[in-house]
Amino acid sequence: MDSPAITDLAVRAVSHSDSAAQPREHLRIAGILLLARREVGSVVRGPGIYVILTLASLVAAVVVRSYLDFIAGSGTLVLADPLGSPLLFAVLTITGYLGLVAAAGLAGERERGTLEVLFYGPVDAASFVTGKLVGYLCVYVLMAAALVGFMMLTAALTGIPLGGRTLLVLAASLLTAGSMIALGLLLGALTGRSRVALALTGLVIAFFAAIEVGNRVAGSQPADSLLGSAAGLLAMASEFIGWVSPFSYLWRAQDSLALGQTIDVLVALIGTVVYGLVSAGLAILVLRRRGIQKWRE
Amino acid sequence: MFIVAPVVATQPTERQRQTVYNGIVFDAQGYQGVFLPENEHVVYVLADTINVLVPKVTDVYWWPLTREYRADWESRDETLDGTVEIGDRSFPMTTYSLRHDGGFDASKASLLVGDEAGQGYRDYEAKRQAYQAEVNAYGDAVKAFNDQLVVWGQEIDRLQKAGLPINNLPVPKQPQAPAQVSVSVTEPEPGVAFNLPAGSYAMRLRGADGQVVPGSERTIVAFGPRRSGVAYTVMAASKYTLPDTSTNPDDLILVRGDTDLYIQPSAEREYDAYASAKMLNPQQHSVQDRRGRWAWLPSGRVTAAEIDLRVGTGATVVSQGTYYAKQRPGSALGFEIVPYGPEAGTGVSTFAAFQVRPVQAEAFVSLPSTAGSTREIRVVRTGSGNLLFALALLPLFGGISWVAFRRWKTR
Repeated sequence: MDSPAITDLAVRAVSHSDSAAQPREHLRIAGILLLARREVGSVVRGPGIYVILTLASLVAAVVVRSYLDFIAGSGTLVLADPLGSPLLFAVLTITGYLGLVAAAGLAGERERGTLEVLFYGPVDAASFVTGKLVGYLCVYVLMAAALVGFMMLTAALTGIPLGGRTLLVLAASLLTAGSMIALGLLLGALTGRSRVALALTGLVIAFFAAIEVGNRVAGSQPADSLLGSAAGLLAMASEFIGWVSPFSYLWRAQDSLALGQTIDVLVALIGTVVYGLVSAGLAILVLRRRGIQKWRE
Repeated sequence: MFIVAPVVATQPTERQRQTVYNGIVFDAQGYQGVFLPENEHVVYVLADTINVLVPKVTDVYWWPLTREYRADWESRDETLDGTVEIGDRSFPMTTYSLRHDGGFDASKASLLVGDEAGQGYRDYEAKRQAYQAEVNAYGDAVKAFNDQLVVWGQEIDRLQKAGLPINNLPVPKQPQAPAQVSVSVTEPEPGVAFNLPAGSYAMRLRGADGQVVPGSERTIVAFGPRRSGVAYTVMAASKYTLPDTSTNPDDLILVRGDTDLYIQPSAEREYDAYASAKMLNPQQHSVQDRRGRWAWLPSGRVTAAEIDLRVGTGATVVSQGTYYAKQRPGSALGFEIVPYGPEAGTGVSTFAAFQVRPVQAEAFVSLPSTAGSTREIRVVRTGSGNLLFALALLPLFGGISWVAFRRWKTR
């Protein structure tokens, strides 16, 4: 993410473009892969990924610990897919983090002027966004693998099984992560400064979470209570959020998987892919429209 | 003001004459009555079951304590005659009765309609009158028995005084009390019985004059189960008063491992949560209309005398037993679950269940030849919670150390 690295990448990309033997598409793919590798390296070399991985594991550990305490007190606890919820909370923590990093990363590159340097090579808006998306997805895979390791150790220590369905949901979450990263890239492209991008993405994620949680809480309140009477409004907002929040697609896929409704699972997954493609497409469009140059005051 | 307010709050509000319906609806186990004032525009019933609506005119008032509309039947209770039109079907007025069986199902009623209701009620009346006659005869027999006892006692005294043996003196035979009537049937009442396939229908009452009765229009929603299954009530011996219920076929039963489990299976069906709540109580305020929310409702007993228990590769059959909670003697508080036997005495509250002792990490219980009835029981290590936190910190220490090492090396 630092300027020398960017310059180096641009030089390497230019040297690729100078090679007449390389077809243009080949060069683009090489550029995408270079960008992806750069993003993976940049994230893995920073402390953020480890802090977030620890935070995600702690979230999962707190939920599992509450189960164990309940069983110790009551003797029994009935749950479908007991490690599913802890893992999902952890996955959402990581996904949200990657959305923030993607938004701040894109806006930051424009802010520092490195984006312009990069575009002197065979890199255009499409390959830049794709490279970032692939890079952050690779980071997600690494983090998810570490999380699975943690959950497997948790299963071995506690005796609570890690179900196959939980792992399927985790695999499906790759698409959710892709959508969240694409949304982050879109918000990053829309804003010119990394702090603004960070704040905007954080607000959007917080809004999604607040509506979803608020809807679930209000739905269980009496209709004649204050929160209960707001349930109708929250339900409408939740219906809307269900289409614009990447997390909602994962909830739907998880619910459908639990009920064995394969078609609904596929619909949710296809919806996630479409969401990600549309967001990434819009990010490319915004990048083309607004330019790659550093914004002037 | 502060003293008067609570008094005022308990007063019913102004009465309003309304066309209402009394519903006799099937709740998946039996029939129960519901009241449908005019403000409840949607009537929820189970599809493909017989339900009854009784159209009436009465005075309705708001009862603030329970926050619901109530009928003042004493001031007016007029049953309306006519035909209920639901969608493109018509259902004429008929009669219905509720049959209450004794034993386990005492609180659950079954429905008798038309001639069956009349016949059921006549049979019940005949049995009740026969029982009454038997009770009268039993009273006479008891009186005669008491007289015989007096004479018998006097005869014993006489024989003993005379020094004669009393062994040959016949003992008066105590009369047997007649068996009570275990089934009751209510007197047939007018109502409209109907059975609908799943769907939403417009409903109205067409009076005997051919006109639609004002205020009788409603929407009726007939809904069916999404799936059927077997629920298990699971009681740990150590927490007998806090049973847990497994309704989802995918549920895992996580247990501590040092306590016996008592398992009670029952039938269940899964319905739309909102529709089922409104069916059970049309004036239910604490339920929200949510798509995609489902609720399992009990749908009766499971008559299984045995369940299969699979542990590892071995399988055993567990028979149903009768148990009761026995208070521990002495000053120690608590109780223990023990098999019920004659030594427990009468009047002890018992329950039927399958006793399972989970000793291995995983076991499976299921009803014989019943698909979707399998549940996994897992013994968990409850003391490993703190280790999880130590594990969760590994990425932080490992990652930060690696990043620091890398930076130190590149410097």
